[in-house]
Amino acid sequence: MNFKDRKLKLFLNYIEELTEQYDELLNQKKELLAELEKKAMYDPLTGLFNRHALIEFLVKEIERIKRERGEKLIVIFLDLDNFKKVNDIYGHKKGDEVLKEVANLLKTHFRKYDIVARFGGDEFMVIVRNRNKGEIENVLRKLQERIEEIFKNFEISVSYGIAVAPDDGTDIDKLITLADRRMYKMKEKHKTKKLDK
Amino acid sequence: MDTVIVSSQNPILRFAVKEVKEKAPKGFDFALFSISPNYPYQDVPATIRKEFGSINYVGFSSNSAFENIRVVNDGIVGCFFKFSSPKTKVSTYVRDNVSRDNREDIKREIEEFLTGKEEKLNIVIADFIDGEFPILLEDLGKEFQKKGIKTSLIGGIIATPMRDNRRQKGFLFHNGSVIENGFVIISFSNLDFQFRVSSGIFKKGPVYTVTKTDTFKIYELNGKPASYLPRKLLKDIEPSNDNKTLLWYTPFGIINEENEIEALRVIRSFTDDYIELWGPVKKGERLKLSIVLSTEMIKDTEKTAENLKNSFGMVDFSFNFSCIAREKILEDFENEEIELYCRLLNAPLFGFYTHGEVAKRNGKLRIHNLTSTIVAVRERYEL
Repeated sequence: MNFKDRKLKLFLNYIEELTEQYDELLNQKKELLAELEKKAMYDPLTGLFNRHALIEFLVKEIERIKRERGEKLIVIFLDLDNFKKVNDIYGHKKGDEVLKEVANLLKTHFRKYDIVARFGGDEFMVIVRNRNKGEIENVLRKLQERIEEIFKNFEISVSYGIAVAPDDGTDIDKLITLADRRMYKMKEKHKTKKLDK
Repeated sequence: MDTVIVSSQNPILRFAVKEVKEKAPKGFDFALFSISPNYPYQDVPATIRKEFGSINYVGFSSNSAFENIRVVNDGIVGCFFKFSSPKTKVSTYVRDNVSRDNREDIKREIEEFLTGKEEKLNIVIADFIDGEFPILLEDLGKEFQKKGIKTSLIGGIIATPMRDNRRQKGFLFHNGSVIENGFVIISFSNLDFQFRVSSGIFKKGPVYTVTKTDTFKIYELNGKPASYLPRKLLKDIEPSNDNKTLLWYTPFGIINEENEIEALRVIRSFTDDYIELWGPVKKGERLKLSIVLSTEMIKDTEKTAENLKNSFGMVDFSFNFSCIAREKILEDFENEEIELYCRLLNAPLFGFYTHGEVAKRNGKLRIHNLTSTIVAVRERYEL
């Protein structure tokens, strides 16, 4: 092997090292992208899906029920009552603890394949497939009782509203607005009940 | 300014100095001598004195030196300056016995010497001093950066023959004295100058972070034992004495946050435990492994010289400090590089092959390997 051949072999070995390093960098890039994607989908405080991810799921689910006739999709909007008081009186740290606990309760009351998301602040949303409205109302009542029991000292409860696709339409904004409006009706009832007491 | 560069390859020191004297211009103001380490260094000051009388000069040991378009091996090359303006002066800072123990004092002395010389051309010629000079220079560069000192320092570490992977001791000579383990800074006033650093290395390459190091030795790259890399580069290449020089073709570039190369490092040797470089490297520094080809080196030299000429204009004289590794890599182009500089700058050239080049690159004063630093110089004339 003369010097010229050895030099050529050296350059080939260099290219091999370069390729391996780039493969490693590509893998690192893929892992980083997956991590970023995960971060972009989840709410960092509660670990639930975030608003952006929920809308994406909802778009896909609405498309699906449009294709598969007879399928129903339940959209639930939940909002904590008296949550502001916790932040004001006990501070944001306590408020965060309450939100995390509510997130855990939501996860345990719904199935693994239902979509549970934090919509923002103390608002949550759940998308449920293949269950009837009556069943879901039972689950929500149980959840409500559990929340009231756990956060008795803070007088926290939960109000919710339900919209069903395609019965209430298949427009995403309309379904969310409807569930939100129904949640408000319940919230008003809770307020009146409290005043009566 | 008139600069005349002459040489002699007579193997007898006295005859060589005599020949240089005969070729030298009369009445010069300052001289630089590159003196082959084959001559007895002890006799150098007396021989120069005998032939030239009492002159202002700096000499240094060097395997080879540049006499305009010619690389002169095993001889003496003299560079004689005759200044046109009485304002042009040369001052020197000479230091011997440099060691780790007096590093801080020397740094302070250099800083003092260079204070007020921001506009001057400051040329440094140093012995390797078992690695002490590169460490001193890198430390000095960091301190200059920290203190915002803009003074330029350009030059090189003298190259003497290698024996048992150790460099033979080099010497400096100044006005009748032999300087051991030292360096000289020559400060020229009343000169305009510009310099460029050329390398010709490929800009792309895998990047590693130095995770364990000890000055010139890298123990770990990216948290893995570093020695895997030279082994991998030499995979399936039969062992040979030439394999160490083969690794000069794959230098490391120390890169900054903007991925620009701040300094180049050539692999000197490697063992099972470490890679040894010709210049210091620090923990946390990022290294880009590159490759270099003689054709690309020459192209970059041409581009660099053209750029310098276009920017600087008329050149009286030029200095060139080129890494000894380039001599090997350039192969048949060895003389072409200095020829290009001379032709494109249209000026006489003096310089030598170095064991490390000193120059600012991307704003930082550092020791480099594998580069060619070209300095264009012009005396300021009074109208």
